[in-house]
Amino acid sequence: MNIRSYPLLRCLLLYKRTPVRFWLSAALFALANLMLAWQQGMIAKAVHDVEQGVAVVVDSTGGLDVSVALHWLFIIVDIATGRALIMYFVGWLSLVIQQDLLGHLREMILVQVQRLDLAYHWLHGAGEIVTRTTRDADKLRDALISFWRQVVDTSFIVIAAVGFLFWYHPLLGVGPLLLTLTGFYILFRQTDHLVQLDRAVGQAFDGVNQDLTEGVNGVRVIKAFGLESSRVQRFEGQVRFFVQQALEALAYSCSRIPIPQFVVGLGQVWVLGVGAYLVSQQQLNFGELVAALLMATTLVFRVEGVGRVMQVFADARSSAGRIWELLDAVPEITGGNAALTEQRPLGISLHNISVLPPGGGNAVLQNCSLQLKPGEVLALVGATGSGKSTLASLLPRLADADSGHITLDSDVNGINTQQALNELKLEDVRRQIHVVPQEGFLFSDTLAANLRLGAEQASDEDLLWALRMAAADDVLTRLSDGLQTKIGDRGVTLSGGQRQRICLARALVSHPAILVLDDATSALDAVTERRVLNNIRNLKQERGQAVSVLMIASKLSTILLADRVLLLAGGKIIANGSHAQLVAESAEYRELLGIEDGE
Amino acid sequence: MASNPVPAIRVMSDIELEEMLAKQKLQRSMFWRLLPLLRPVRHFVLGAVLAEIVLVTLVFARPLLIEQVIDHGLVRDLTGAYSLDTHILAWVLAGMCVSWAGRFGLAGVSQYLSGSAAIRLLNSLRVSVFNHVQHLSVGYFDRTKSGRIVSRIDRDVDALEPLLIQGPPEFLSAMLRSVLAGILLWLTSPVLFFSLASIIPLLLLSTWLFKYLAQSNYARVAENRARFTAHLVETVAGVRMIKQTGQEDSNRDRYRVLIRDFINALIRNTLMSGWFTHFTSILTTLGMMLLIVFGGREVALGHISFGQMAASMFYVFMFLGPLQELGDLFERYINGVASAQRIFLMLDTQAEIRDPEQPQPFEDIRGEVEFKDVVFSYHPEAINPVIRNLNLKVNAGEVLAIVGPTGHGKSTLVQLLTRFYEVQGGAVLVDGKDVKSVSSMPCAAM
Repeated sequence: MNIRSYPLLRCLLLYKRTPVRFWLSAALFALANLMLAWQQGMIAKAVHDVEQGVAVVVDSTGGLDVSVALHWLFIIVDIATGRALIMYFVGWLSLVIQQDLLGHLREMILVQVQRLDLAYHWLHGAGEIVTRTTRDADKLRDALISFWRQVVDTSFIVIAAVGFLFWYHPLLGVGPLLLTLTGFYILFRQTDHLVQLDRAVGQAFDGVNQDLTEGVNGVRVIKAFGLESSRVQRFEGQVRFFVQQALEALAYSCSRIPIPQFVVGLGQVWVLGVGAYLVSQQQLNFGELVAALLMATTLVFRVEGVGRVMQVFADARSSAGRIWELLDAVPEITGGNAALTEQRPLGISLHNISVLPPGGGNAVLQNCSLQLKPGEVLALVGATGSGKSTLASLLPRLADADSGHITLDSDVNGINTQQALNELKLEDVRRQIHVVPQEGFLFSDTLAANLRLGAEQASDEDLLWALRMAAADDVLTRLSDGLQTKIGDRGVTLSGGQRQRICLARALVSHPAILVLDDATSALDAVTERRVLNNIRNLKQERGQAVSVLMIASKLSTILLADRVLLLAGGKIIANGSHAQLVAESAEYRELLGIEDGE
Repeated sequence: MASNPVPAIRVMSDIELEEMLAKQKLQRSMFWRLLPLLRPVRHFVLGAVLAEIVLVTLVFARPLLIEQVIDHGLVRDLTGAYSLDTHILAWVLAGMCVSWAGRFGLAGVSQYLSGSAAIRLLNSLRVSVFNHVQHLSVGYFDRTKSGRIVSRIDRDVDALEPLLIQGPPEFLSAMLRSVLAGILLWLTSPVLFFSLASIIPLLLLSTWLFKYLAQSNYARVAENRARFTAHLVETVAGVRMIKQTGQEDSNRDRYRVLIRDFINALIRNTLMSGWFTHFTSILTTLGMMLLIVFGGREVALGHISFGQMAASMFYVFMFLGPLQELGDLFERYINGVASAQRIFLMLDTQAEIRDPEQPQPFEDIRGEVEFKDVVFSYHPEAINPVIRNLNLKVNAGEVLAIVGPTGHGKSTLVQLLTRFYEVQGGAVLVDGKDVKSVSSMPCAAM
């Protein structure tokens, strides 16, 4: 049996983490239901005593002796109390191990999210991964709760109830047993269809949600084009479709689910008929008949809830499948073992790099070679979609090339050394080569915590220094709580330029040897931009921390700050030189920057 | 907007908003606003109520039928043995089959009626809330987190279901079962009724205690849950930065702490509220035993038959069960009211920027734009407005470039022109007409 085709079972197998507590829980559930049967048996005896006139005796003087009845009351309430205590304890115990399992699974998902390559994230999208970790994990939680409350408890109650009836008389038990099994069988048969209907409803609702989110998040565009009415109409259409699907599913479940419930209910009718017959045959007394009927009623109502559980499980099954799909994915980028020799300045070279898009098609980069010399400030320009950002992701190995190789170069005192990037430890590579994207991500935390991401030990002075270097000191003065101000999604709103400068400062705090600015100064004006870049250039003298910079640029002001400019087109570097040289020599360059010929 | 410096104004968190709403006394007007919503589906709700009434009647037939078998179906002869009256038994068994079929069949009918009423009603409400939101001004979206808006239309609308649709039939059915069981017990023997009713004070007391303990902890569980979910969502969004800075391990550790906090809060909550169901099961057993003791006395005294006592044992669940459900119903009712309040709060929000009563005709725009003494600030109480007495004229057909450092109001000008925001002083004129005086639709043409 291949465990991979049973995703839900695979989740349940995680209970191996807590084997003692798992089996203890199961045993206690069994014990509690055994006690329920015991309690019913005692009630039967008490009722029998009532019928026989033993429980309450009227003596000759007309006085009442209730001692036997009270005796039964104490015994039975004691059993009920003991049972309640066990149930309370096992409720706690099963919750603890269930949450342990879920917490473990949640952590596994987070670790996997962090471990998987960016390529996986791009391919699957943040929305899908978040759904895995929230909605799918919740469905699984529902199934795990049902596992204890319904599956374990209900199967024990069926066993206890049927066993109880068999104990009185085999004829009494055989009917409810067969009828309950038939009911379950019908329910299983219906589940498949129910799940299909449910899935259709879920998909229809996703459509509603999609329109809803777009309507709220894209409100500016909608208003700019005056689309309000047509969006509402579209939304109405989605809702109408959802209503139609939901009604269909409702009609099916309301008309079919009662059938198995009725079949199980017939068990009680059987107990009454056969029980009455057995009483007439003197094989059963009235107390036992009443207790048997009470037990059959308990059985019917416990089984009533099973229909919903089937749905919960079917849902959880597909959710578990998706979760394991995520957990089973294997990251392709793995680090080497070699330590990075900490020599500065550091350069980097690409040798015949090719990158193919995941879905096939024209190569993004094709036999592309370029060199960032140690200590150099290099600008890389190219049309939108020419692969500049892809190239940037290759450097800290956030993505890997399909062919070609990358080396880290150092040139100290005329000694030239080269190290292959993929042989180095991943964490070393990423610490030394820092890419600042155009839209840097800020976590919902304090400004200080965001800045310290790459260097946990950095002092407040270090942070202030980095902010000053990134020309972000004026951002700081605007914040009410200084470095301790909460920023990010749930904090203070920052403008694009402010965010970019904070991201630059964050990169500088970790003192990378190679800084890649992926259009990371696009929202800064030319004056600020120059100030920041001069600060970075001067790092060598000030701190002995020389930095080589690769700037992916689209603004002329940025390009003018570079020592050398490369032009990327068709997956290759097609021009290389100073800005003045390229303006003079490359027609593509002039076209890209909007500099007309002859100017 | 992205390039404008926005001073830090405090936005209310969801929890704070919820607390504020919870403190408000339930407005009486709320009820009158909710009631008309039910109008289009009133036949369904009435149908469901009717189905529940018939259902309850059928449920009560069962103990009576059992009583018939015990008292009349089994006849004790002189030797003390019982002989079976097959005729009565056959009738009773047929009646039982009908009772079970009706019990589950009518439950299906009632579920279908109330379910389809809910689907229709809630979704038409969803559309009208969406319609309202779509026409609110851009400023509203700046002030309100998009997640909160979405959850109004999504979750809050769904939370109305128990209040409007499930509530009435379920409440009625619960009351009916309890009251009927009480009456039948009373008719059998007032002693039986009182023996069972003596449990009620204990049951009510424990229900109250349960609500008190569960509610005080519930908010903390919800908050802890929101925290670790937010952390995870953020990890997915910022995974690139986590990889870049090598924060995988410390991020996981932080997540582990959040999950542990959540689990601890959840377990504490369960420990404090989990006793309730088990305690009520003890009370139910106690009720049944009191019934046996006092019923035994009545049987011994010859006040009631044994069959009557046996039948009344089946009333125990019918009598006490609904009382336990009431707490649950009440909780869902409270949740529904809170959601209704939030939805009405949103529906009461008016668009700040509205079309004039009689918009001026605005066709064949030439494209002459003029800013006249314009004053504007995103927050009217701010001391320094973004735009201060700006005068600017762009002739038709002219291409004008506006330059300036980051955050000095360049894009604000554009948003004032399309009337995303309203100027506080001066006017924005297109072809000499104030943008306030024309219909907003053609603004899209700009």
